[in-house]
Amino acid sequence: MSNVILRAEHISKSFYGNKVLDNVELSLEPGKVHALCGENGAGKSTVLKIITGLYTKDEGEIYLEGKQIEVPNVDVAKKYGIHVVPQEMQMLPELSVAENIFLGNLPRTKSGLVDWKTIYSKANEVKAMLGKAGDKIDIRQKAGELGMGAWQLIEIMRAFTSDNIKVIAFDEPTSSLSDNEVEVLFDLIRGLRAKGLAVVYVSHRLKEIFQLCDQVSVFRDGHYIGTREVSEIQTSDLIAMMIGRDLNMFGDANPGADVQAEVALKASNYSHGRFYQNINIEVHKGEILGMYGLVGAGRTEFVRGLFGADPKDSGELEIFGKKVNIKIPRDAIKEGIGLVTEDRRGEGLMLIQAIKWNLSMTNFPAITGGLGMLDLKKEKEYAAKGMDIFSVKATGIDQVAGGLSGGNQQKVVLAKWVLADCQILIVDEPTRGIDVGAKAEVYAALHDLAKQGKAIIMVSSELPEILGVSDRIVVMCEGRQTAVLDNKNLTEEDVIQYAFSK
Amino acid sequence: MTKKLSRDARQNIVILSVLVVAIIIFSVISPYFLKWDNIVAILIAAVPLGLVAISESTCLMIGGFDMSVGYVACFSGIIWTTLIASSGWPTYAALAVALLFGLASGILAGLSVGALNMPPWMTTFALMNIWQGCVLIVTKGEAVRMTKFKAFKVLGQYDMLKTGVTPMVLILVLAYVIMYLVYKFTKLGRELYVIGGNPEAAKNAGINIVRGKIFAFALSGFLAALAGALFASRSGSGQPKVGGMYAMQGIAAATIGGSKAGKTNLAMTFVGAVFIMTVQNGLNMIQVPAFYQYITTGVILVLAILVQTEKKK
Repeated sequence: MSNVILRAEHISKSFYGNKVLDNVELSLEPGKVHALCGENGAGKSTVLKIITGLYTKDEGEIYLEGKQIEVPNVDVAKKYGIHVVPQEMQMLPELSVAENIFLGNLPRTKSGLVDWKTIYSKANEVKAMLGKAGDKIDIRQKAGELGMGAWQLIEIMRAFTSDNIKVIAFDEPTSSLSDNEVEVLFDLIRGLRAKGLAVVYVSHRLKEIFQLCDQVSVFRDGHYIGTREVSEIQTSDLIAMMIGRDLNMFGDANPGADVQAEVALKASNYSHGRFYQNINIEVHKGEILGMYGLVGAGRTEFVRGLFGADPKDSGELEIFGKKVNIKIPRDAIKEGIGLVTEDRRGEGLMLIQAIKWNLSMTNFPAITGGLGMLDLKKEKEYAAKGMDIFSVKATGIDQVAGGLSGGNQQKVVLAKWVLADCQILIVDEPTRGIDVGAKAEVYAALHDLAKQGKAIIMVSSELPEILGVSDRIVVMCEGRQTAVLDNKNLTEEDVIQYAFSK
Repeated sequence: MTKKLSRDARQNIVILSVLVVAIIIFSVISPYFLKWDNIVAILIAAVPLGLVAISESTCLMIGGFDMSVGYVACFSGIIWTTLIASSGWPTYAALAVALLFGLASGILAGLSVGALNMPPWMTTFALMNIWQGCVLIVTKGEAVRMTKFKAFKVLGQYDMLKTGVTPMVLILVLAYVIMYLVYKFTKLGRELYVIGGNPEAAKNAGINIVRGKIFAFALSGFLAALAGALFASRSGSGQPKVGGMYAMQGIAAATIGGSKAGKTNLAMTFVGAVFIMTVQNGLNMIQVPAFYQYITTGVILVLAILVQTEKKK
């Protein structure tokens, strides 16, 4: 290990009194792509942010080429040659690509005015360093006209403007990219590796680690588990390191076993403009109905229409055989329907308030006594129960929801509906962006609810999840319902063929 | 191991410490500052601001604010005094009309913001202008003189138990206690937090957002009218030029108290109101010229709000 360029030792960090990193370490070698891997909340992003100056560490040492350094902020990190392409990119959409590249660092002429000539010539130089990937970018174009993939390239070009690049770190770079853009990015990262840079790569997608990375360090619950050469391990080894146990992800699903005869929800002829047309579904008590389709197939719009969160043009709804008219979410909740939306931070949680308040928002009837007075004792009991059902990892029911990891936030959102005791639960991408451990817990909870006789509609873009969890599967394509399949001996191909337009 | 204080608690301690330091400085320079009479004077002066601070705290909590409180207060005082002095109404019937006016103005603002989705800024700014115009039309810019009317002055001037404390202070305390209980213990109060904390989540949880917003603005208008009435009773006249700074000072007090969308703290909002009045009173006491008082008040407010501002991790 003589070839180490950056080494971090005994790193610890706490948020809100929650220890998120406990005595972890990391060694980076030049010319290697080093993956940081672990469940959500395991601490991998925090490690990246500490070595690149986005966060400051509470304890520990960082050595660059053997010399101890401190990186209190991103600017200092850059001076040491440590650069980061953050997950949340800082871009001014109304400014040109070139201006964004030199943001905060615009070259000036002697008289102190902005030196446009140098900006454009230098921007073209760094663009050339991208190689083929830069072809589609015009440096005079507004950043706002470009997609996420191009924004990432702009972030990378920002790093290239420095004369000193030793380490470059990517935080979940592919989470918002299309397949084509991912390929472009991977080629670029391989190029960086060939130039002898040490690349740090954080991703949820295990596949990518095997495609791209040379080494992988695994973290679990804020602890350092170990570092392996990627060529020497298998996916299953990696998962075992990440969760510390064997995992049957989807639970012991026996499709159809819990499904009862009674129909809980029947929607007929649901249409809304160009979003979806003539959708007909039936969900039984105890059934998990999967809704699969590509992005833009209209599934989210349809379930939001069912719930009254968005308007619809037409459609009849029967709940337990009774005709109902749902115009707004309040109507749906009265009928015992709950919706876990796709965007949990934006639509599901009060981030600045305590977990218990978040759990109460759908649950007022149960904790409200006479005269509209809240029963705070009951609220606490309910909150504790909700945390328990989904084993939410937090310091307590008073912890602020914004301080939780993504997986735990999702558990809180699910718990608030389960506590509300709704009979029909609609979940839209329930495991997006959460780690395998939390995923398995969500699946187990969904199966539990089905066993209790609840009807569940699960919208998902992940086929393994659809096949692993659903009793029946509705497939949508471009706003139309293309298939209703019994989940018996289905393969991915059986389902996916209906998702593509013909 | 000692328990770590939450960020909120630490901020509140800083605000309280700044207040204590200010009090110490004022009392060292002016021996009169900490005399009972002066403390009572500060409290009484803080009553109208204290009430509109609840208004702003509530509106901030649901993600808005209310620019109209100053002229709702002003017009309320004018309605009360004019009905008594010019129309011969009984004191408390006239007061009821003034308070109903505030309530109506608030409901109007709440409907515009809640049901019609108009921006709070424009809506309440428009109302502010309308009520200011009404004040000038009714009074022609002159104070309504109330020297003859004794009952009118009870709320603001009656000396309870020879302490100098007048009923308006009790009304303020009562308003804070009631609203504290509403926020802590009622479903309606909690819904206000959710509406400001995440409007989409509130909608999807079946919470009646329009009702919540109407309630917040109606309460704001009502309390502003009450503030204006109490100020009139205290000053013994209907003043057409009072209230211009209420909205800004109320927002400042509520912000010092840590109120923002999805969050409020009434106890600290009260501290915020007292803070502002203490600084004004103290600067008078130590004879800082009026022009410099503006600057000093501004600087102190900036410092106080700095403490409340989120720091980047």
